[in-house]
Amino acid sequence: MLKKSVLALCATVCMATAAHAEKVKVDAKLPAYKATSGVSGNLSSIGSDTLNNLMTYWAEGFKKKYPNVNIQIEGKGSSTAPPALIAGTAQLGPMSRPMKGKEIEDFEKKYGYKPTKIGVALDSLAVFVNKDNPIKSLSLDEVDAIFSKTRKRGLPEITTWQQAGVTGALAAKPISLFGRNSASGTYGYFKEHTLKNGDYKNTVKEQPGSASVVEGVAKDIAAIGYSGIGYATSGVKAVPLSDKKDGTVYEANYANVLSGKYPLARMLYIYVAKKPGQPLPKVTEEFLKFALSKEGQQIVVKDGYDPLPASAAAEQLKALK
Amino acid sequence: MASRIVDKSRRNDRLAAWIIKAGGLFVIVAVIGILFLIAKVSVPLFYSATAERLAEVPAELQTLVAEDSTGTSQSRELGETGSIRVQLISGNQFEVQRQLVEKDVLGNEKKTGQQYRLTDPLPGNISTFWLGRKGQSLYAGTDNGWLVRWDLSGEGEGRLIETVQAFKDHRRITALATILGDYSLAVGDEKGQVTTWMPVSKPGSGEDKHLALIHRLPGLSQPVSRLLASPRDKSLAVFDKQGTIKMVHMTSERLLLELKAGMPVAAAAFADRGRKLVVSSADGKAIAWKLSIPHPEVSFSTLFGKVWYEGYDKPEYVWQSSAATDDFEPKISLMPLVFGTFKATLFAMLFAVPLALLGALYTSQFMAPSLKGRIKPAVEIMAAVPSVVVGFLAGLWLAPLMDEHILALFISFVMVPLMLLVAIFAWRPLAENTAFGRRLKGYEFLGMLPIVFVTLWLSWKLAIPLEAALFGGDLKQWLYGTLGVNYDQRNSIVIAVALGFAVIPIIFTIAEDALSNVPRNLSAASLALGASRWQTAWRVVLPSALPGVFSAIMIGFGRAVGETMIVLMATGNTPIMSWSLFNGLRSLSANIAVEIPEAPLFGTLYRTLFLSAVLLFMLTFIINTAAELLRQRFRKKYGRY
Amino acid sequence: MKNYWKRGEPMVLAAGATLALILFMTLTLLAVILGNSLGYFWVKDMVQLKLKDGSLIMGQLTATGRHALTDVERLQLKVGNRDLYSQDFRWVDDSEVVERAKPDDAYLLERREHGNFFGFLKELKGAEGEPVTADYVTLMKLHTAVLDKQRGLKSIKKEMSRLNQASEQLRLKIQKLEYKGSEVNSAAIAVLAEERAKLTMAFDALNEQLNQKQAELNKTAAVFSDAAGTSKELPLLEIVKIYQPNSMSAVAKAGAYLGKIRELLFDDPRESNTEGGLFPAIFGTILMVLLMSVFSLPFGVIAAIYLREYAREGRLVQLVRIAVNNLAGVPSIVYGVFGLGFFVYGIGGSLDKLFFPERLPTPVFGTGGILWASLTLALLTVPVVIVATEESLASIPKGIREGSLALGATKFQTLTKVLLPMATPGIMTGLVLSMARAVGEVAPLMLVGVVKLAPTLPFDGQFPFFHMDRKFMHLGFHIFDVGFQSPNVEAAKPMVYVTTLLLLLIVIAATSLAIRFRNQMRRRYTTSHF
Repeated sequence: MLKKSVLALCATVCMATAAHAEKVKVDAKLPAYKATSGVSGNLSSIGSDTLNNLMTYWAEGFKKKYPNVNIQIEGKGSSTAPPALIAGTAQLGPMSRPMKGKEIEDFEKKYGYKPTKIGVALDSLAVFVNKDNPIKSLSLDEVDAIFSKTRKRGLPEITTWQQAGVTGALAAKPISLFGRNSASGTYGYFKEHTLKNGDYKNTVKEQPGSASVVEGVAKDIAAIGYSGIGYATSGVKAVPLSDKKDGTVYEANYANVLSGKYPLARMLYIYVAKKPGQPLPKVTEEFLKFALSKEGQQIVVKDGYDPLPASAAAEQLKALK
Repeated sequence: MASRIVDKSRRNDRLAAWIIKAGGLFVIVAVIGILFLIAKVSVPLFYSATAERLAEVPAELQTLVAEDSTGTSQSRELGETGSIRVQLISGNQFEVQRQLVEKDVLGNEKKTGQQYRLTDPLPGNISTFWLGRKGQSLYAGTDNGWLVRWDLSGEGEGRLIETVQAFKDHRRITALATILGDYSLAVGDEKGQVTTWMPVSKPGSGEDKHLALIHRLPGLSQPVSRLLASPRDKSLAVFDKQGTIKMVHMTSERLLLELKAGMPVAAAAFADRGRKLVVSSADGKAIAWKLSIPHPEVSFSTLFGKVWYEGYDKPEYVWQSSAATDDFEPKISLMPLVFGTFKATLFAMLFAVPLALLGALYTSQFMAPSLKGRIKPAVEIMAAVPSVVVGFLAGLWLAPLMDEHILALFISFVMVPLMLLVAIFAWRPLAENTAFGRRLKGYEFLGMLPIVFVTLWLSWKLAIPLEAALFGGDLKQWLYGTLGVNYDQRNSIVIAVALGFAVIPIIFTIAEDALSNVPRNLSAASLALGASRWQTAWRVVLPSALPGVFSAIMIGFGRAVGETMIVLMATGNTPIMSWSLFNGLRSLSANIAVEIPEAPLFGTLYRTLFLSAVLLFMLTFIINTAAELLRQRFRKKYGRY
Repeated sequence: MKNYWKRGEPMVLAAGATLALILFMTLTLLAVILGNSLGYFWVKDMVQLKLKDGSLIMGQLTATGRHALTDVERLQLKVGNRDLYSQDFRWVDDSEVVERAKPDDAYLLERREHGNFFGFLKELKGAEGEPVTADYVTLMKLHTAVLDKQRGLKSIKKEMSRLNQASEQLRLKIQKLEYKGSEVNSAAIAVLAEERAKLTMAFDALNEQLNQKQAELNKTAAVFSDAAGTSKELPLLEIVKIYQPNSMSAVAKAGAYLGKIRELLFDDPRESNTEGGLFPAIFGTILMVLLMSVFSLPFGVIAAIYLREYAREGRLVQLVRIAVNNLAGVPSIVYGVFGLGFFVYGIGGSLDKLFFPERLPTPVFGTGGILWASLTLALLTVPVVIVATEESLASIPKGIREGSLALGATKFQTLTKVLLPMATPGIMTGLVLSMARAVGEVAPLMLVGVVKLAPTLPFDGQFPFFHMDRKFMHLGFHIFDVGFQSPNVEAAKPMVYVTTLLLLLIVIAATSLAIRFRNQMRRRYTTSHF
């Protein structure tokens, strides 16, 4: 509590780092990864770009354990994962959202069983504003009124910062919107949870990568954008959010994500094609075990996402059996 | 000996001719084949739907259709949160029963029940009613053309939201159903008409939105006896008493299929996620069809017309193709994309063509030959700058920079010609009267380079006080406040410059080649007759090189239309239809790049994107063909020697 | 004066000014790229700031700026230590700073993970983990020793790699036999499986050995603390390079600069491509463009010759010509989609069914790869070559053609001995344009074989040396990926500029080469008409 008030006193400088000032600690109860023998071959991953870097980091770590595994990683959006799994071009399908009904159906048509979903990390989707923006908090209702054309949450349209509760020099400026392109799971997740499946405004600048959303916001004082918290830089800050207007506001930190209080927290998944009752190919299985191990979850922290608690990781590992 | 050589070379000649013909034809067929393959992908968009009657109705379908009852009560399972049941009781009233299940993080369940009656006075007798699939709204239709809507979603008891006189002629409403997504209500009446309604906010209506007529769907000649919404998309099956079934789609307002059951239909259901339709008569006889409706949401009007989508206040051109959920209404109007393509190309060409052509003219006609050998490669290297580089710089460097110094840019538009005029006046005495000046002939542009530098620097310096004095220190704010113009960081000026940068060297190189290829004797003759070097260049050389110049512009145009990465990275890909320089745009090509990784193979979006590729091709085709014809006319007129 | 205007001299100047503007734009582009990339390799001094609240921060000054609303001046520091602070950069108000210092003993460590570490040396542990004197000289000595030992492990790794490949080959053989019928071939399978088990055992033994030695090496460690005093133990193996920027001479910094360039050109990328080298991407780019030229040049030239010299002029040829011209304008992404559908799924999928049925559903050729990428780009650039070749053939005066034929040469002889040499400059221009376009094309490549990370090159010492089915990295895609999708975009930005510069250099080198060649040709073959 004391810490919070100190932070509040601190100049705007601190604001940028406040959201993620404390480094997240990995659950000590997570199992350490044990290398086994006979792991070799090719591994290909196609899917989410939110998970792209995480996969790359994992691949680097995995390659250290098994120097002769050949890993290829492509990340152009969550929606690329199901077709790749179905076509067999990838063994791992990282996705930042669960598969849609249609995708599962297509998968089942090809393989005769459902795809296996493995949660590998937690992510809090952040609403970013420029680091100099004085705004203290937003509710998802307001965010919907800012981003949505159909405004299913019911608030009247917000076009300037004044309407979002900002005073001073910024107040009269029109809000400039940044978002992701539709191939990304972030786009879909934000649409579903913040916009209640409404439509984005035409003026949302769809960027082909989360980094470019953050860059855009960092360079434009009147901008607002959304992306995974892992993409935060010193030029932006994550706005604390509440679900309903005038509700309790929560920062996008680990504790709030774990307790489920932060309204835009989600699980990140890797999908695999696993025949029921049969083990996965060794490389794939070991890769997933590695991702869910202590080392793997430390990598999650390194990439700016939130690690799974040990119990959740164990739960996910069960799906591999 | 000699004849053997001749024979051999003849044989070689024939062989070569054969190989070249075969190879050439192969390449051309292959290259053109691409077009056909692309077109082939998009054609199935327009295939009509078919239905195949199953010889035998499987047992699970039988049970499915048996569950369908149109009695006086409807109930909905609401997943993990409970269930709701509504019963029509006598006296135009409803009884609502609700089971609520609350689950906390630890998985403990808490069940609560709720029961109440809706006793609101109504303008007519309820003839039919419908409880939304999500259990949040209850709709009722009366026998004199009124629609009634209750909200059951809140914590407490249900609330009457509105009663709407849907039909002035007091016709009886005979069937209701919500379309997938639970937002739109389909209404069938005794005249056989099918309409869809959804809540729309009207001026002065306060917080609640009101039901409004959105789509008129193809109807029946008999009264509608039943409506059944597809669980797959925004389609709807419309039934009449005699067993005629029409499959219609809400967004595209298309009649997809007409089926004849040949018996009165008492119950009906979709199975297999909307791929099968089962109906049964009162005596339990069932018929099932396997439906194949490839792309119901596509019609000419959804692709190119204004459509009134769910949740919108008026019909609009919208591109928003996907969402994370299945009950989404895809919005696939190509108009904003076509518009964006035109806008980007037009601005880029306006910027690039004058620069490139004048530059090429200068290089080929006036520049000292020794310099020319250096300048041309320099521009060619500029052509080689990869578009991803240009796009990256435009998006992450130029756009923020321009955002900061927008006024300087505008000032420079005035300053550059102004300074040029000054330079022209200053140049004259220097060029004509001094030996040094005469020697400078052919090097003028080197003198211009510092002028350009200085002018830009001056404009930048001037902009700061000007902005403070005239626009209150912030031009963008002034634009927004005074003119209502929104300046966007990723705007069309950025695109024009970036795309122009990519196109200039292409036009320049080809046009310069064409201008240089004009035989020297033509210009020599002109000069000898006393024409000045500009007159020669403008009136003699340029006209004879026009075919080449045209093809230069044409190729540049093609590049600008199709350029993907620059537009993708430098704009916000905003599908806006406005000619404002300060707005972004979304072009067809960038749209394909942004969306195709996400498009399910051979789905509607995938094929629509291919269709937009075909469209793009047709765009260039028409313009290229026109240019080619023009070029040939020029060639005839100014015939190459 | 009137005459001056009439003669059009001002227009000449105006035309000159447009050219100046074009050059200005080009120069600006170069200046931006150079300015942003060249500084990246220079080891900047580190400053330690004492803030008003008494806290200390240390880092490299990267930018200054003003608060967008309050206009307060401030500094941006790269503070590094991503594992401690979670962000590499930090903005500090100028007014907050009470004291600035440049401590001589500040260390800059380039690490394998978590980016750079900025801090001070506290403790040092020797080869057995025993404490030794903590100073720069000892640290460097230990570091070199550790790296040397690490290099010594290479032979083990090589052997492991060999074993692994052999084992993989056996696995594929077994798979094939199983596919043909596991009962018929059970004996053969058993033999192979046994062989493979042996290999695996040998591999595991080596792996164990390697891990042990690694663990041994990891004992050598150093404890560093950041400016605020938080300490962090780092095994020396984790450290790539050690600098003390504030006590380095300019010469030493220049040396470090060159070392970093070497790393850039010849090393593999690290930390999700934001650090380390670009070698696989450079290699992939060049190989892909060369492969593409091999496909597109001959076919394009043949098609153009056919159109211009052999086909009978008429409506059809005219139509074909227009169609080809149009194809040059078809958006590249469409070719990407076509390549995906036709080459990858169509041809690649059929090849897999024919030759590698046992491996399905895991595709060999039925997935993006360098071969498909080159073919797709060849298709994309063929129209450019066709148009350029045709254009240059068309510009050869009829008289020359007729002269050659009149002297008794056959059509083919005329073509090879007279026309083609004269057309070469034009053809080269076409090739240059097409190569330049291919190097920069990213959109279609994303669909047919370019990936973010593929450290295994498509060309190596293993039979059959060329692995056409492998995916590859590409500089252009690297720019797009790191610039738009990297999680740490601030830290990665210089890397993007460096990549941009490199890509530009490659393009310029290729283009200049072609231009020179073209000019030589032109001098040799062009006849003067005047």
